[in-house]
Amino acid sequence: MAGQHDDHDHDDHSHGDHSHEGHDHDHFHRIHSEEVDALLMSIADIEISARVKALEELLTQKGLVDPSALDAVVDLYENQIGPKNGARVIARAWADPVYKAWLLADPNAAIADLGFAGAQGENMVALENTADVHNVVVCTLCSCYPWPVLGLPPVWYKSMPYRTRIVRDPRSVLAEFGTVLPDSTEIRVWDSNSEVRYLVVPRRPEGTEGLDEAALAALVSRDSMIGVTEALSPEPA
Amino acid sequence: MNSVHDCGGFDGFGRVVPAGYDGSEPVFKHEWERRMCALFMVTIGAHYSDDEFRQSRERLEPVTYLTRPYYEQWWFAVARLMMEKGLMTPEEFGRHLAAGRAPSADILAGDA
Repeated sequence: MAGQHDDHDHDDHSHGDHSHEGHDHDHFHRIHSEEVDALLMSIADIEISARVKALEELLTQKGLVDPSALDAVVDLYENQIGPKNGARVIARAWADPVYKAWLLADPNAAIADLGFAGAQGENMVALENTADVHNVVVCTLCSCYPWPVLGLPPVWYKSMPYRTRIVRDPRSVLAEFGTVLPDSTEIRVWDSNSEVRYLVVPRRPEGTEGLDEAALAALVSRDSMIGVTEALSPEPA
Repeated sequence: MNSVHDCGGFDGFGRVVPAGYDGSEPVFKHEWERRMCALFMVTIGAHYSDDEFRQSRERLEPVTYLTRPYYEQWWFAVARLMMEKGLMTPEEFGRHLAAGRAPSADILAGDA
């Protein structure tokens, strides 16, 4: 289950130091890597569906994975965890200034208060967008993302075009998403890492004064919580 | 490790937003992606750490890293870790894969 994710040892690997390994580990690799590389290269062009199926079957046969756990984890990440969670957090922050202050000061506690916690969300940072500052999140090195509030990341977030360009020319990337900010707005790009995950708090749209939290949440898109767009505007009455 | 995964700031990778993008997409586009993601979720923590997983993905040679889909990169990373940790041998995985694909198992190096 995903909960196992919480159990492993966290050492102090920073993003810039992924290759740090102990001596014993290096030795282990020297013994086995050549044979493993040869096998992986020899089967690299077999269709991926067959390679995944074979891996699942062999690990199941060996008792290393439980097929029912596989189905449960698929259901969790496909149907239960997703950006609707994050939208509830943002809607509460828009509706309740005390909650918003809590979210910005102690995001782990404020997010857990709505029932959202778990792997890849252990150390959250909430970033508030304002008229002067717009925040946007990336993981340049891999695909770090706050699973408990946003689910699994979209393909573009994990893609080379986004990872390479958002840190160098964020304004042009935002424009591709239809987000054109005034030149006077500062754009801050936050590079996620193994330990810290970010949630953007988009600006509350105008014309939403009378809306309840459920109606507000419907305006909070996933992309606005990554920071590549702003929140949606309400349909004109 | 210094390799292509450390890509922040590189030029030339083109557009970010896919054609026709409307702000949503399915969590998985293919059944194999769903199964690979699940295999990762149930083996990380139990058999390898976050950091070992990342490093295993980063050890993909650059052309493979740049050209294979995301969840296929996960397949390489997890398969490598399971073999390097001795939980399955390259020989038995190769044999199992070939058996599941018979009669075209001659693609497998050494079995031709």
